[in-house]
Order: sequence, then structure tokens, then C-alpha cells
Amino acid sequence: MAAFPKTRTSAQKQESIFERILNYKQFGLIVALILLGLLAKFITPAMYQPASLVAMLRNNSIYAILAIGEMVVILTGGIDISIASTLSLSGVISTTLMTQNPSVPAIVWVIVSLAIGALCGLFNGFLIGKLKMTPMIATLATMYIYRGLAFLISGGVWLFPNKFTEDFTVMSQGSILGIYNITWITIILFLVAGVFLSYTQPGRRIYAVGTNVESAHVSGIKIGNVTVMSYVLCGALSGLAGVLYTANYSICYYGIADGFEMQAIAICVLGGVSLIGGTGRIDGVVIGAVLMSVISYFIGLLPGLSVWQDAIQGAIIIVAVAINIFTERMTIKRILKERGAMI
Amino acid sequence: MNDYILELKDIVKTFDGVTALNGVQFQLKKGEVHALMGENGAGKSTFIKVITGVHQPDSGIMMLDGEKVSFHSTVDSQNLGIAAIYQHVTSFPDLSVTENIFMGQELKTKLGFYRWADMRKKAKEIISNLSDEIDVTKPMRSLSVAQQQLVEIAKALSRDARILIMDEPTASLTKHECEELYKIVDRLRDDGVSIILITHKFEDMYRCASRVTVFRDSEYIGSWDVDKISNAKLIQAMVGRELDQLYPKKTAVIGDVVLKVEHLSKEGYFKDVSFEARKGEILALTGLVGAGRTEVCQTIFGIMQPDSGSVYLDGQKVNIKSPIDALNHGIGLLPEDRQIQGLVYQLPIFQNVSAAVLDNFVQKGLLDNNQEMNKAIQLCEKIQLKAKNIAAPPSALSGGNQQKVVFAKLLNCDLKVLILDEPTKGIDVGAKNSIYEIMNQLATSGYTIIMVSSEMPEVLGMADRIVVMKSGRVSGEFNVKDATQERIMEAMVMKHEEPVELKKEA
Repeated sequence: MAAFPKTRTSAQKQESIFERILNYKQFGLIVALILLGLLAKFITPAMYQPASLVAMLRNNSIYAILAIGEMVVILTGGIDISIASTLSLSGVISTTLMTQNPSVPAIVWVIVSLAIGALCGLFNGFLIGKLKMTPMIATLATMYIYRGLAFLISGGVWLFPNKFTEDFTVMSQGSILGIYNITWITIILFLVAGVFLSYTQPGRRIYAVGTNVESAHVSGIKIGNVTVMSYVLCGALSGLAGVLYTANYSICYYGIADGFEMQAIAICVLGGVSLIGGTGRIDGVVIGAVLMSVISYFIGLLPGLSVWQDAIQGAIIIVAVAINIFTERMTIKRILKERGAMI
Repeated sequence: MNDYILELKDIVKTFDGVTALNGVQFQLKKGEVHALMGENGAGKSTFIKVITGVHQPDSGIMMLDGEKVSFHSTVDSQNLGIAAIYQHVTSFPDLSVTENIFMGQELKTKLGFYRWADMRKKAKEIISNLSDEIDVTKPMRSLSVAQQQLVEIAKALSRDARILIMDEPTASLTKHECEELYKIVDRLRDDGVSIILITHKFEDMYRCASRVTVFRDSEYIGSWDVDKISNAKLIQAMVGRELDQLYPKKTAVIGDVVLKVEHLSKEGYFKDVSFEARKGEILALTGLVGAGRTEVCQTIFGIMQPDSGSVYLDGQKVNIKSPIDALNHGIGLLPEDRQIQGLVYQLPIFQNVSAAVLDNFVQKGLLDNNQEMNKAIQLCEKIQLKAKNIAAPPSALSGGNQQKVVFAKLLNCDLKVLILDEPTKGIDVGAKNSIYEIMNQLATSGYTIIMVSSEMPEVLGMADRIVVMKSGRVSGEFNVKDATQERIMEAMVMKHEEPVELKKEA
């Protein structure tokens, strides 16, 4: 039965290593990263001191953790802009409890923060997956609610380093092999997320729902449940980011991490996660996160330019998305050409 | 009790008060191919979704192997060996062929991790029975429609299904591919699989099925042995009335060529498409799903840009870059999906009617609501819209009346050419009739009408001339008095290697 239309004669051909590199989805981002790295080598050599690099990774770990959660939600076709508020609520509650019970081991606060984050995510997921609210609206509302709760619980009080136990701060500030713990935790989370998204059923269901809801429905996938799960995961990661944040800076206040949700979304977009849902890979988000940190660090080191940091980051996002759209169109064109061979 | 593997009795299903199935019956024997036929909207697709558990019936009994069953989701039906290949290929475009085949029955390690290498290997084995040109690692969206369908079949095969439901599987296949599919169906039946084959093509039924059941207007009409029912009787069962009653065709005075399309091409969609449409004429553009008809219309209307070729209007070459250009030149499009493209459900009917021509009602920079309303009332009378209040949104109207609102919207513009993409899709028989009346009336008053339609009786019943497309090319052109169902079907499925014979007629 080999008589079906031969439309993709090249399909079975092995690609050469060169072609595989060129076709690698994150190729453009890596080139950008290398170019930026070279530029930095000449203009701000200070960036290449090991201490600088390690500090850069430490300071950007929170963004990266938030971006993992945000990615999971975006893959389903949703969005969560309440993550920074979730971070603040979980940070405020667990840090306040920590100062009141300094003898309790820090792992307890990690669990508490995960639970608070998961609850916040569960509520988002309930609104979106079960009540069918628009993700942007639902999480806009909960963004205010969670931040408001953080304010109420903290009473607007700042917690300063003298209140922090060493057991607590070492979670982020300790280091192994010269790299901060918070960075190690981020790396582990990336690995776990990668395995989860590629090799487990719940992870693959997230992609399935994002790429075609209708198909998911007739395939018997419980779309509401997958949606709720994605927001719970995102919330839990944001909650974890809460304790890691306060532990990292030894400071806690309800207004922490203001605007971080946009940074997380920006990393996802830069890393090629489509806001329509269904496409995006963890390696893209890793590179997106690294690229974003290098950019901000690099600009921060330039004396006259640092005031331009936000504007430049915005411009870079536009360029990155433009490149994404361009490559996407090229792919579609190529597919049409191959189909055209049939006509 | 009996030898039926699947039996459905008195199934009723309603959606928001609209009856989709009204007490239908179905009996499937083990190892038989049973054709399910009926017009579009007869309830076949809903019926399939009841069997597979996508929808739950309001009442009625479903028996599998003589035992009463009820499915809460497709997982339940899959577990009992029922697999369905839906009409519009329902795949996951961004996921790989492998993952599409294994969706819901992935191979996993004890710890629950996917065994990608094993899945790819097995997918390759299954797919190699059907085609050796499909790379199982490629995303589904990179395949052609026919290839995607093969993947769907592979998916069902991989599930060891006992009951296989195929919803118009041959709709987008060439004749040769159909033959291959028939062979697969034969092989499956010989292996003891029971198959429900939904089809519009008599050819499919005669070639594969031993029994046929007909639904019409959500009702069960009857079941027959295929060799004991005549064509005429079957058609009557499906349509339920005489053909000329359904299509009140009046031929208008046909004038000069208004729209001329020459060598229009768009890579991946259509190639070298040429045809003419005259004043007062209803030109049907037909072909199988995916033949490129909609894309040609969208190109004429400026939604898509052609790679080459030109469009002439009244002998003048026009360059249409956007829908606004098209409207300014007097070309209007009634889109296939009125729900998405035709109407704004939040706005009242009269504002929908004037949405495209608001400028006409602006006085001193402000919108004159009275004038807008009066024009809308006038147009709604012309098309005999049945609405209690045209200041209410169109969502409360029936499908047919919603379609009339879109007509009114088009008539509000100063148009010469109306392109109607599947104008009667998804509306009931009575409303269809009044849409046809409107088309007659418009043709008589001098409009040029291009009607895209997949329904053969509609094409034969309403058109003056028929252009058939196949795989992106024009494969035939007929004057309606020379056209027969067989000739059109032949042009629809003709293999493209054969030279295309274009019949030029005035």
C-alpha cells in the first residue's frame, strides 16, 4: 500500500548535523547570546569576573522560577499575571511565621510556601478552568486580591535581616561549588520541568490542550482539570519563589517582586513560547532566562545606559518576537510549498 | 439475545432547546459495514458523538453486546473498543505524528515516564502499513490533509477497535486513495471489526457496506439491505421530498461578464484558476472539502493575496488588497462561518446590518440612528427576516434568520458581485428554501452571484453554471443543463494527472 501521495519525499532523509543546528528552534537566541557575550567582552570586561557571573545568576533566579510556572500556564493557552502577588503573599506569610517560630526548620517554610502558592493557583484554576473566566481577567482580579491579603497579613511592616534565621537565609544565600543555592534550585527546577513536560502524561496533556481544545475534548481529556493543574503548578512555583526571594535578600515586605510577572512573561516570549498555547520548550525558556539576565546585567554595567535598561529590554522583546514571527512564517511557507508539490 | 454488537434505541438529544436527535434507532451486526446516510444537518455527527461518549443522550438506550451501557466520556467508549475518525480531522497540530497516534494510550515505564523511543518505533510500524512517506517525528501540521487522515486511521488501528466509526473518510481523498481505503475497510471487516461508515457518496456505500440506515431532520427514517433498495428510494428517504420543490430556481436574464478571474494562483492553496461570472447569473463553485474553493473566494475578496494571476471587474483589471478594497469595488463575501466572521453578537440586528457602511449614516460627524434603523427595516423586509425586534441582538434568531441578517448587511453595501460561501450550511430545510428565494431575487435584480457549495443537489438545483475544483485546480466547467451528478462527481475526484478539459460556454 505504497500508493498514497508521495508528498514528502525528503521526510525520511537523515538531516546532517549542520542542518540540525540550523533547524534548532533556539538557534537565533543562541547566536544573539554569543554576540552579546562578545560585545560584553570588549565593553564591560568586568562582567566576566566569576563573582559577577555568579551574582548575575543569583539575582535572576527568581525570574527564571516564575518563568517556568508562567510557561506551563501559557502552554495551555492561558496567562497568569497574579504570580508576583502570589510570591508576595507566600513570602509574607511564611517569613512572618518564620520570625515567630525561629526554631522550626526551614524546610517547613518551603512546604508552607508551596502550599500557599498552590492554593492561590487552585483558586485561579477554579475561576478559569471551572467557571470559564478569561485568564487575563481572573488573574488580574486575583493579582489585587493576593497582594491585598499580603498587605493585610504583613500589616505593612517590613521584616529586616536581623529577624531572619540563618537556617532560613542559607536556602538562597548558601553556596555549593561556588554557586548560590538559589541558582542550584533553579537549575533543578528546570530539569524537573523538562522531564515533566516531555515525559509524563500530565505534562503532555498541557500541550494537547494548548494546541487544540476541540481535539482534546473528543480524545477524552478533561480540559478543565488540565487547566486547573497548570495554574496550581504555576502557583506552587510562585509560592516557592516567595520564600526563596525573602531568603535571598533577607528582607520581606508586601510590595516585593512588583512587576515580576511581566518579566516572567517576557522570558517566555523571548524563549519562543507561543502565547496562543501549544508550542514552547523548556530549553527555550532556559535560554530566554539567561539572555534576559545577560542583557540586564550588561546594560546595568554601562555607565550612561543603565537608565535606559527598561526601554532597551522592551525593544529587545519586540525584536525577538519579530524574529519568531518571521521564522514561523517561513515554516508555514515551507509547508505550503511542500503541499503545493501535490497540486 | 441477538447478534447485534451495538444497538441504540430511541435516542433523543437536544442542545439548548434545539433537537439534534429525535428518537433515532441503529443496529450494528458484528463484522458488518453499515452505512449511515442523510443530508448535512440530519444529525449523523451528533449521533456519532453520542456513541463515542462525547455527548450524553437525554433519553434512550444504548446496548453493547446485548448489555446496557452509558458513556460519560470518550475514554469509556475507547475502553470498550469503540474508535471514531471524525469528519474534520481532529488532530493535535503542534504535536508529533507519534504522539497523535498514541494520544490516550501512551507507552509508559513503571514510573509513568513516556517511552518515546518505543512509541516512535511502534508508530513507524503501524504507519508503514498505510504510507511510507510519513515521518512520525514531524508535527501533525506539516502533513497534508490526506496524510493526516491516514494518521487518524493508524490511530484507530493501533487501538484494536472492535467498532470503528468513520465520518466521511473519503471526503478529501482522490479516487485512487479511496480504493486504498476501501481495501483497508475490507481487511478490517474480515478481521471481525464492525464499521459504521458515514458518507455522502453512494459509491462508498455500494463498495463497502451491506446495510444502510438513513436519518433525516434529526429523525430515523429506516434501515435497508444495500442490495435491496434502489437509488431513487434511497434519495427519497434522504431528501424526503421532490427535488424541484426544494430548489425554486428561476433563471434571470443573464448579461455581460462582470467578474473575470484569470490564472489566479496561491502557493499551497490553488493554482491557475480561471473563470467568469455574468450579470444575473448564479455561478456555483464546487468541489470536495479542501479543493481550494474557499481560498479562491477569500483571495477575490482580498483576505488573501494571490501569488500571480488577476481579477477583472467589468473588463477592468482590479487590484484588491483588502476586504475594504473589495467592498469599494462592489464585491461582497458571505463567509462560511457566520458565527465568527459574519455577525457581531453583542450588537443589535440593525447595527449589524449597517456595520459595513456606517459612513453613509453620518450627519455632521455624528451617527444618525433613525436613518440607520430605517434602512435596516427596509432591508429586513426585503429579505423577509423573521425577527420580533431588530433592536435586539441576532443571537436569539434561528440559523436561517441569522444568515438573512448577513444578507441584509451585504445588501446595504453598493455591490455588484456577491460571493456566498456555503450559504445554507447548518440551517434547516425550510430556511434553506427562503435563502434560495433570496438568491433568485438578487440574481433577477442584476447581482452576480458566486455560490460555493459542497451539496450536489443545491449546486444542480440553483446554479446556472458550475465550476468544479479539484486539489486547487479547476477540473471542470458545466452549463447546468449539461451537468449531471455523475459528471460533476467525476470532475471532483478526477485524478489530476489526466489533462483537464475546460469547457468554455457562454
